[in-house]
Amino acid sequence: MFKDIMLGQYVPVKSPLHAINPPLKIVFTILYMTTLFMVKTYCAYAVFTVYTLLLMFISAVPVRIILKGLRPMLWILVFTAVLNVFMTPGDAVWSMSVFGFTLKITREGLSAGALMVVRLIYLLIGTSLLTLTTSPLQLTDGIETLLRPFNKIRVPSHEIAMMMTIAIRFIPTLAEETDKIMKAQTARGADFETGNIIKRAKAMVPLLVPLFISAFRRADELATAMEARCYNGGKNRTKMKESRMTVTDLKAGVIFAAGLAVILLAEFWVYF
Amino acid sequence: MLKAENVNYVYQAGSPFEKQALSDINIEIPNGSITALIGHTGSGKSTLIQHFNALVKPTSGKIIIDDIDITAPKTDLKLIRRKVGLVFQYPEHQLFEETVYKDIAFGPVNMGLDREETDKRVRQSAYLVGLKEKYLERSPFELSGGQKRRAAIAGVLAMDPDVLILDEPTAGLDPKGRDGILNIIRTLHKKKKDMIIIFVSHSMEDVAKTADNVIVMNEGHIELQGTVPQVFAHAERLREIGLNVPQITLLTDRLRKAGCPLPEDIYTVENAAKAISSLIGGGTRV
Repeated sequence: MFKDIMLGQYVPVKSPLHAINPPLKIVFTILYMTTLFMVKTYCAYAVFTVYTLLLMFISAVPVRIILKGLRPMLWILVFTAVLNVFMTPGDAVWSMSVFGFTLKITREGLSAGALMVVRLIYLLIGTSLLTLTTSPLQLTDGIETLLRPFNKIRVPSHEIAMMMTIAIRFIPTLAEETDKIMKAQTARGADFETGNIIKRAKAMVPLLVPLFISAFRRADELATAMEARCYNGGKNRTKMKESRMTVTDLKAGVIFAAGLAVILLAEFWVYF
Repeated sequence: MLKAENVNYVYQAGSPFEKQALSDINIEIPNGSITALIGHTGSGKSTLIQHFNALVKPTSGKIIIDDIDITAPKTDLKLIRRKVGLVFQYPEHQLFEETVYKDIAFGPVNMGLDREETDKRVRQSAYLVGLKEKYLERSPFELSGGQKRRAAIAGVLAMDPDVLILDEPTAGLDPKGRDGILNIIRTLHKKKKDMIIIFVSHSMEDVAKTADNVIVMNEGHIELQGTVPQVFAHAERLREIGLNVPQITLLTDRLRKAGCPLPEDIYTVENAAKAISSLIGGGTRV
């Protein structure tokens, strides 16, 4: 059952969004999110919507997959909406008293709730687009590049990236291991599926102890194997595949920045 | 009696990774026998043995143990797991308790046995696998590789199964450890007259030394099955599917071709030694 899990959510199709230099893509995802939280007017939201839809279109990722990423957050979305709708003070459009409390829906509440939900959805879509169009390895590589300037203040950028890469690499291995141990303990009469929470938590011990031991053993072996091949951290280490900024990346960056500028213009035009 | 009737298993049906892992498996294994299951990696051995205690359910076909159809929709899984003990590859990786005693007791406790019965079972199975009493109170992680494996096997034996299945029980052990594990299998065979023992192996020597019957799997179907001499008589076919006959058989074959009148069915070093010494009429120091 665990063998079927997907590693990250990367969708390997060809698109201009896939081709953009990963560090650049990460930077722009951050800018996208920042802009999203600066936007407050309907007008700017409209432009933002067009912008997001365009990005989704360019990414060539099936819309179904992007929307699937929203599903786990459904309850948070509903919760946010309800909270905003009922808790924002202002003009009441509907009210009711329950056990002495007055529940009221306000015009301001409806507007704030809708905008907040839309904002969260765009936030999720924006970050999903990054992970959907960038493979885990490219992502960690990108993070390493972005952290490199912080080497001066002793941030071990290479080591952080290496740790992330190794962690990602071992997800399927550990999943397989979990499956194996689970089967073995089931064969010895262990029951992982029935009982209350406490009973189930206890049932996890025969699974977790061997899993941890195996993870430590693998870590040990990997460390030895890396040292045997003279690995000694990021100092003076070069890369086989260097990710370089190309002219296309530059163009993409300009277009992206222009899009964000238009959104901000729509937000703040009243001031000009 | 363990029977498999027309068992088919399709892995990840309906997905792009769909694969026929087992096709049309028919097996009959009598009580009180040792059966070796051989086949190269990916031939379906592990999938097949997981069918025997209902960890995996066949896509079609039946598996019957002592007249109980374990593939029927409403079978009592706990009962089946009590009847069929499955020792996985590298079973020592599943040890988790503070002491060897507690680890061996895990199965019996899950079965709901009382303290007295559990204690009896733990000590009995520790004895069967040749684990000394003094190890019972130690942490399983302090034991040596071979002892850990014995402890893990004892954990399955403590459930007192009618069918014992071991997936590559000797993998990764030194020659002494291998012999130790094979001895456990033979001891069990002698002491528990009705027990069905099935083991997966890549060593033709271990098979010849230990098993009565052999089942050869290739690409998800049964290629050959029969007694040890019956199966090893197909040396040519075995080699074609990436297996072989025991080393000693290769040697006696060569000797025979060179003009030595040795019998054809020699599969163990002991038998070869006997045949050769009777041939040269010399001493009988075997």
